[in-house]
Amino acid sequence: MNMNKTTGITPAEGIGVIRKKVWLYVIGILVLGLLVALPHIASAYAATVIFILFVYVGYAEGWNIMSGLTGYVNFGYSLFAGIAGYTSVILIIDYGLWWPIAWVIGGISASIVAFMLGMVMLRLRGSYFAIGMLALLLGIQLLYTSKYLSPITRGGYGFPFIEPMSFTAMYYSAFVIALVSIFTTYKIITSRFGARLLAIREDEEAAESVGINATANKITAFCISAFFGGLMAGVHVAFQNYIEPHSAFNIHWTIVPIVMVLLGGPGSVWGPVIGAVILTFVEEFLWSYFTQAYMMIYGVVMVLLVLLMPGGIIEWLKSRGTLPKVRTI
Amino acid sequence: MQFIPILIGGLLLGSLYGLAACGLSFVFGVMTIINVAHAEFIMLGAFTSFWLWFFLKINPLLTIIPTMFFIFVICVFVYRAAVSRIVGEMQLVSLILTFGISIFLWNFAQVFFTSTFRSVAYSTGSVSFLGSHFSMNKIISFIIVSAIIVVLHAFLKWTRIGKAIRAVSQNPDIASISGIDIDRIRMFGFGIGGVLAAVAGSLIAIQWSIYPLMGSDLILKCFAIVAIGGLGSILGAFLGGLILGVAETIGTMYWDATMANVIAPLLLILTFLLRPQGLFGYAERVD
Repeated sequence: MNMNKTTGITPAEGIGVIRKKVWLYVIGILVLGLLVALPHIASAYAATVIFILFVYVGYAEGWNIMSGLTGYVNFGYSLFAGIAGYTSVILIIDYGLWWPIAWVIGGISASIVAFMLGMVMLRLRGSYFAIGMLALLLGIQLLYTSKYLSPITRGGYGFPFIEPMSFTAMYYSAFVIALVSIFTTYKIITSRFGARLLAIREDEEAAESVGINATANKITAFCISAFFGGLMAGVHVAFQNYIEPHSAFNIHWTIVPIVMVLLGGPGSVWGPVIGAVILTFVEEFLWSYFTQAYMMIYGVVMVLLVLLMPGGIIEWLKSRGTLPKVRTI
Repeated sequence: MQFIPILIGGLLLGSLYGLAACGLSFVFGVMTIINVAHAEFIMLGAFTSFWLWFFLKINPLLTIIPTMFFIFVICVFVYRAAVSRIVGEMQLVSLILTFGISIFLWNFAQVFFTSTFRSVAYSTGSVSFLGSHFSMNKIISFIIVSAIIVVLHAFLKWTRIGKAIRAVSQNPDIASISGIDIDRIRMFGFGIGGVLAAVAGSLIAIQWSIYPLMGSDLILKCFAIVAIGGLGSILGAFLGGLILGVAETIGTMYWDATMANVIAPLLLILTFLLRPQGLFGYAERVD
């Protein structure tokens, strides 16, 4: 924040920086105002696309908090979406809970599962963790289909119909959750906790040798990540109007956030948002023309990003000097 | 329900699992890359075999040879275009890269082959043994798998190029100093991984139904097998495959057919936690 103090720029340049900041605030407030008014002024289709964008922002920021910051790639992220989605739907249908409360409890349930899994899984290093999470995703999906949980989860059929709620309410819920997830990411990245996570990403041994409890920090990040993924999944499932194991735990909800975060910039605040904005519109465009082929594009984008732009758009802009090299972006 | 036939059935299934996982383990051994797209190469192999049989009416067992060449070429291309650029970087980079390749391939198959379940109608009858019937296909497959494993082992042990592959996998720097073109050897190694996948795919096509998403069902089993056998060990992968095959067959018989699928992820996580180097691997510091 106190850039002018630490960087020692001249007053004239300082005014330039302030002017730039003012413009940023003006644009930000305009965009926010537009997004708030959107369901009332735009077509239902446009509002739906923006709603999906919010959902993806929430998913992507959630994945980013764990995997972007610590470098522990989570291939089982949709596990949390599935668990939270199920919890919220069961609470709403079987216990008649009010939607927002059910969503929050769903998010908390995903967090609790993340805590329990993290205690065990986060002792594994790098690739072992990634593959172990993939295995857990499949195992837990099967468990939700199985006869053992059927009385609660209705087995393979799930809940074919959930009474719809008003789209406007879902829109604003997703909007608020997306904003909170961005704000939380900002708070984490600028905090000492975030610095510890980044230290773990750069060199876990070195981080541990200066007294950072790597496992505890990773577990905390894992729980926060699962909470946002789960919270957003509640809204997402409400929008979809049904839940069954195959769609709820689908690896699609892991792939999409990964590609978005990689595109925007892992470990940054706005990277996942940029990735989500670009890919939501690309997906919407491709989906309407090549209904089946658009997932192929995700694969290609992923490969190209790893090869050509490993830091994502944010890192690329920073290295070109377009963006200042600060962590708050 | 007798136990011995179940055991034999499990071993027949397990040999195929072992071959499927072998290529994954081999590629890891040569260049420490976890190839998530390996099961997609198996799927491509199965479909190549299927189309050759479907359009050209080639005997399904003979299709194995052109399929091997085809997948080898694809793998060499993938290595040249993408994988060679990230060899030696952090494992997670290769994990994400090959995951991207895998997503592309399975969706490619879904678009162009459609998600219909297909199978090669190839039957050579069955044999009776110990009072129960075994499909001849599975026994042929077992023989081919065993032959491939033996040939691969001999190839690595005695041929010049096999020795070069082992040298590169043990220490790329020293291998390079000794005059081995490590990039070429790695390309060849990645191609052999593809060949193993191709044979596994062709053999799967004559026994099970094939579909574009079969890779995502198979990859976890491959991971579990490689974890049990120890990363990089070929015989370990084969034995790990036999263990998983027997465990799944017993699980299906005495427990529940769908729940038997939990065995692979369960074994995987248990091995990671209790014995990360696998049953037949040795503990090693990985930096």
